[in-house]
Amino acid sequence: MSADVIAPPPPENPTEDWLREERIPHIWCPGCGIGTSVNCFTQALEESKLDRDNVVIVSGIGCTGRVAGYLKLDSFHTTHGRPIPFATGLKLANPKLKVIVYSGDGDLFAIGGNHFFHAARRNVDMTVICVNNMTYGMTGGQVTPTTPIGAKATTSPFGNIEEPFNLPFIAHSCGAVYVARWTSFHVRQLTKAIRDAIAKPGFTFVEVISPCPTLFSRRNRLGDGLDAMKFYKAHSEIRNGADTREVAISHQSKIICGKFVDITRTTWHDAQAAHLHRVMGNRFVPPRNWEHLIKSDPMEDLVAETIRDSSGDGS
Amino acid sequence: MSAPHVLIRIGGEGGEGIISTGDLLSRAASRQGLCIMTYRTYPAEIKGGLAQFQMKLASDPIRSIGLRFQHLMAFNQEALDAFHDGMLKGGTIYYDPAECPDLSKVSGEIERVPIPLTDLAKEKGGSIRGKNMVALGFLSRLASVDLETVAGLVREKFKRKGEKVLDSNLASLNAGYDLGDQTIDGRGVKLTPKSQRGQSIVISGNEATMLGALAAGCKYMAGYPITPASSILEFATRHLPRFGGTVVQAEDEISAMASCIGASFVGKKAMTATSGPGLMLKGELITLASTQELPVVIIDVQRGGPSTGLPTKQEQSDLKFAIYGTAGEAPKIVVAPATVEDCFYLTAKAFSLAEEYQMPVIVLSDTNLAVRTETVPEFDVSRVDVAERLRPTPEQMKDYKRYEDTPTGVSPIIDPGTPGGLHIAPGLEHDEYGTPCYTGVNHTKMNAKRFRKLETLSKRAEEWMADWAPVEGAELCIIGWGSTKGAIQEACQMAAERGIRVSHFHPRIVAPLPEAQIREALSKVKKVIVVEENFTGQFSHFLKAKFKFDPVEVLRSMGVPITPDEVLEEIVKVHETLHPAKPQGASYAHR
Repeated sequence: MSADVIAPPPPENPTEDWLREERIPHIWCPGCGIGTSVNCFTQALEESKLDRDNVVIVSGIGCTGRVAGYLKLDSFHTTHGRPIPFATGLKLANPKLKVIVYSGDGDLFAIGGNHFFHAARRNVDMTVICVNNMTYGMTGGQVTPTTPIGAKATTSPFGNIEEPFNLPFIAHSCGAVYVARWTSFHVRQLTKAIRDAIAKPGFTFVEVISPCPTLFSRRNRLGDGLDAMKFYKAHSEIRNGADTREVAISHQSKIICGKFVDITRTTWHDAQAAHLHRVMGNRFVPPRNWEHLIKSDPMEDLVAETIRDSSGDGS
Repeated sequence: MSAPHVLIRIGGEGGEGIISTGDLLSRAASRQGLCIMTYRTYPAEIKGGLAQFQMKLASDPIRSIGLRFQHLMAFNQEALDAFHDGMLKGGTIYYDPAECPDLSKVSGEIERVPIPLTDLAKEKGGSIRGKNMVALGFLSRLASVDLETVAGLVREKFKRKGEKVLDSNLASLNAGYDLGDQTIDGRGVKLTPKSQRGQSIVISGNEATMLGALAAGCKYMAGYPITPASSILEFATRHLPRFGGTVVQAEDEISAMASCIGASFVGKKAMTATSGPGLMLKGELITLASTQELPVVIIDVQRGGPSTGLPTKQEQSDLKFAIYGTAGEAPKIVVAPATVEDCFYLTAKAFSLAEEYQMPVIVLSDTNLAVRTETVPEFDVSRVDVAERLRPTPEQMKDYKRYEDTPTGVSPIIDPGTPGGLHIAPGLEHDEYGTPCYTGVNHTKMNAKRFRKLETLSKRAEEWMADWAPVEGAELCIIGWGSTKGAIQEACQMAAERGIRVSHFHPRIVAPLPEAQIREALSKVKKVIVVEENFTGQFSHFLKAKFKFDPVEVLRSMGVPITPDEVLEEIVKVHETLHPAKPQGASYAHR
């Protein structure tokens, strides 16, 4: 090669390194908040200094479901509503992986609702990021379980009458150890929330309130993406530690943001490893990749204590 | 004629200890070196309803149990009324007079012997709850099963319940045995054990299935409670943690299936177990595994359908769903064990096929196999040889294509977390790299690639794929699949005794069909009889579409296994159509 070959220029955008550029342009509409959330997510990963080979991203179906396909990570694009059970198996089979579920409100809380409740209950170590745009974007703007009362959708043409889910409250009451909500306007806080959620062992949940200018805002005469940003700026109230029962969102009213839950609870893996070790003794053979769980087990002392106390053969 | 054996049925109300009586007796007989096969039906309710346990004890290996019996132990009137007409000629009914006041329905050459189960249990054991123990003692004497062997099993069973309960049960057991000594004379059965203890085991199909999975290296199991597959999940929760595996009872069938695919994605051998209604729910994710080309094993213990159907009854009616039951065209492999022994080896084989061909493999077991127990030769783990996933060569790693279009259709797979092996496993149609791509040309190419794997497999024509018992000069061939095998084998033998020669073809792999083998079976006979336990002839449809022939269909949807007699009857009928009896004087008519 000739001597005048110049080194490639440094990436113009810090997220470039995380994207599968051959797949760009993405499918998201102008003004959509999903791309913003992806920026925050990649920034959070960058700051987390995780080994990229050990991060797996799983998504379901829908506009947000496309996130997995654009990221330069081992990605799994599952069927509608199933990213969480898929991620559960993935995580339980190889606990060394850092597992992130990235999907939308319809995917995670309508068709996939049951899975969310149980993964949170079990405290499977994963981070769930839900981009809540209050509508099914990819199928044309139908009502979802988070559409506020009064808002219009193609399947609620005269306005929605159903009470929407309060997602932080659901996550909290089902057992999530970390629950935060930010809007796509709060990019710094959102980045930090995602970083903290990923770092924290256990089932962690971040809700991202995001506009859907094409299908939600337009139908409800709320303007474009910029208007949504202005609205979030004017109507968001940061209330860290707020009682999750009181953070429900009504149509075009105050959005309470912040970190609502940050607690510690034994994860499924730790509990399982400790318990089986206790009741089965040496007959329990930890799966490959579990060894570190047995050694660094927060319940180790408890286990040792219980084994000392048990007089039988451990069966 | 068939080898010496004894057939006993025990009937009564669910929860009265009918099943445990039969279970203990058959296990004791097995410990003495006899071969056993058992068959049970139980109500869908946990307590109450009619339950029965039938067992066959013999010196030689048993192929089928049938539905008729020589001895009936009736715990109550309902059992007496329901089962007396299943008695073989010259049989004996033993009944509890306290519970069976009306013998008027019993007719024919049936002997009736009162056995005061309730009274003896009360008198000797101090509790009517011991009446199944009285029955157990009596039947042990009847079948010449050593009392000490039975008592040993009773002690094992009740040791945790305390001495008082154990003593009460043993007292009832002894009382039953003593009564047998006084009552049974010519009716006693003496069978000579042929096998040595330690060479064989007594096991159910579901247990054998999960053992086969363990032998194959299954490291992840997720399931959801469903009759009659739950015992596979239960067995897994108890034993998988001893082999470095993980078990989860999922929140629903879909989740169980999804998490298995997740586990497979990271390189583990994963399985789930369900029955028809659950298989339908899993359908969505079976297509996902098929298009993402991930190995996963699905055990479907078939039961009576459709919908909730007959949850505790026998039927082979999930075949079409297993083969075709997906939206879009998703290749998958379907295998069907025919015996309890098959449940072990074929489940292990299913893991091998899944790994090798990177697709879902459905194991179509059924209620009959799942809940029956049987004497089988001890499983030989050294016979289990599980293929591993195809891994990329260093050359392929330079430009890794997860879905590389290869001559066999099988592409190299890599676990996430491997440097340089970054890829997407998409549910969307994709190109060789896994990148979504919706062009018609690409879709056709990838369809061809995925289905090519089935062609590669169907050409293998290996011995395990089918049991083929050709009979020299046979004009008839019976084709069956799954647990009908024993009944067909016995029927073929009975037909041979009458001078009718019948071949028997029984595939273990039902999709893709072992084509060469089936063509060979079809080529040598005049007529084919297809036997299956469903209403519409699902396997027959599949065969007809592929091989363009016109079989006689023998279909049963009675909720119980087909018997050798029923199969024999059909053989004789078809034989007669091929060889009509010459009418008198016919020879003159042609002169």
